[in-house]
Amino acid sequence: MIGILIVAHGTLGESLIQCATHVLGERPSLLAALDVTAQTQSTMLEKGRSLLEELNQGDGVLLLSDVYGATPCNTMCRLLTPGIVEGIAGVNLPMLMRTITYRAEPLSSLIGKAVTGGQEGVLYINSELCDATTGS
Amino acid sequence: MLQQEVEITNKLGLHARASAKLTQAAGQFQSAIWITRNQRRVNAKSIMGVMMLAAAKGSIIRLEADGSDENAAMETMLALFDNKFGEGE
Repeated sequence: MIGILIVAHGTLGESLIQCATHVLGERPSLLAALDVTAQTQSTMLEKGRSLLEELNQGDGVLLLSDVYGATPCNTMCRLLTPGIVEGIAGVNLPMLMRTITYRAEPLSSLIGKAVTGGQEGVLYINSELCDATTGS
Repeated sequence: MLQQEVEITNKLGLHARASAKLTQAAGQFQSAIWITRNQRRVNAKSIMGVMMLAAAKGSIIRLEADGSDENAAMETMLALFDNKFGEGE
């Protein structure tokens, strides 16, 4: 099973984990959050490395960060090892849920599943989509 | 292949937690399981796919199961809908 680490600003990572836990009915295993701020980047990097050791059970780890170019994502970049520890920016709840769903697949295919899951979760809710959810 | 139409009767429809229960149940079977609503056909083992149906209470969906354990799969799926996903309303 591939480990998942959310590297994000503030409490976003832990909040996403709590949302996924609510939906799935239990807290998924091998899933953690790293709260990175500009002030604590160096210590967070050390913490990230120790979390990676815990999360990598042999199948690799997928890192999910929020904004490309921001400190959490820049920190994430330093944690990457191609083929073993991979990273994606733009994390949202659809991306996290899709990543959890397909984490038994190889890391190389999970990356694509996570990216498309996140992209397809961004929708303009026009009247047609809104009617569909309310049944009216 | 088996197929059957079902009406969604729980108050919140196929919302996130209900979709999670459905996909977790569907994932236990070898058979391919599909759900169709308004010409949109999704894999019942994919939570984001099922949520994209945005199926509210009163929606009619079509369930399809195709494979070696399709009878058990269809029975399990129908029981979930009939039991309102264990939500009581």
